Amino acid sequence: MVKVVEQLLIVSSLQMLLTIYIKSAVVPSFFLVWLLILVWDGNIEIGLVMAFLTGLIYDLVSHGTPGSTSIRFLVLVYAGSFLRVERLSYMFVLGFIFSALFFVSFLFEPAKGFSWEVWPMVKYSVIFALINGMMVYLIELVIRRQRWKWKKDYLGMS
Amino acid sequence: MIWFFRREIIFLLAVSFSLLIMGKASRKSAGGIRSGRQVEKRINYDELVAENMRLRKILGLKEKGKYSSRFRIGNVVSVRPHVFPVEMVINKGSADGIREGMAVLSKDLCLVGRISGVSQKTSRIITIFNTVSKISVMVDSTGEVGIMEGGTIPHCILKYISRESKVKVGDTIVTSGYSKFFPRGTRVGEVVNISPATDSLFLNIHVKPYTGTDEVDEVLIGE
Repeated sequence: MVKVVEQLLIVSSLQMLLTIYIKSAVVPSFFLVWLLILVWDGNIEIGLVMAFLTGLIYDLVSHGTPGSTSIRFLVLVYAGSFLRVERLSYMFVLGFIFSALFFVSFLFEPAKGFSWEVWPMVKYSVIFALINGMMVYLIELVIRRQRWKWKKDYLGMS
Repeated sequence: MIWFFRREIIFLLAVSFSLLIMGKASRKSAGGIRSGRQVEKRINYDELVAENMRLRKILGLKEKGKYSSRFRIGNVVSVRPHVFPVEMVINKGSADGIREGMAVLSKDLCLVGRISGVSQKTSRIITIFNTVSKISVMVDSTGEVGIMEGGTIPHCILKYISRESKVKVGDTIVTSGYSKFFPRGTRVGEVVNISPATDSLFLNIHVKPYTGTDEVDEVLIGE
């Protein structure tokens, strides 16, 4: 639990810096990447609680309606918790799909449809999803290597 | 049994809390509950903006006559999405004299959008980046009138300017005054790219709006 709180602090700081200083249509979502990794590592309950908290932090930083991003994160984390993702390539693909859905959900309103034209929306959601997918892949790769190193050291393997 | 459905229970509880917070936030912005200190700060700020506007008029910035009524100042309550927003909510509504169709400007008097929906204490703004936004604008240097459409991030597209036009990159785009929403001469953006349309006799002009990337905390509402 302490580790998760530490991770939350680090991810929140990174996300705040990005949201405040990057003035582009695409701001990578460290929160989403972290939540997906957390859930696919088997921490489903903690992932759901963190989805609620990080959504509130995200809305606070980005002037969104408080609670709206929490619902987006919760739905994605809940859906993601039903998937058994073990291979890194699947993680990249699913990270890409979930990120694209997250990006598009900001631009959709049930009564009015999409607020951007189709082409820019597709273009920017693909860029956003690619960045997030790559982050999921790379962070999980580092985690797995580190775990393997610890295991090797513990067992005294050469 | 309950332990078996723990994931669903946490999910439902968290969603309920989120909905509760969303509802509370909307009610709070609608109610306009502010502490005494905030009210005092707001009054001082209103005074400063009013003074700024008076000084601008004295300096001959040609803003005089564009807007028939005094500006009202609105605080931005929520923005969607964070950068290149398509929709905003402000804490001023029909009780403060806001009506549908009023023009919304940034603090430096550049066009942000227009009021699209009004409740008693809040109003919804459709910005120039929204795909439903179609504004009659004019190239300031040549006086040619076209339609500027939103939805094409990060720029807007200016249509119906003839291929013979002498418009050039860097020209300022202002509102034409033909629309019932925006008075003539409000600054909108700057031309950043010009290319001939392949299927018509017009140019495809990319306009970079003056608003959109910087954080907007307050807006001016006028008509």
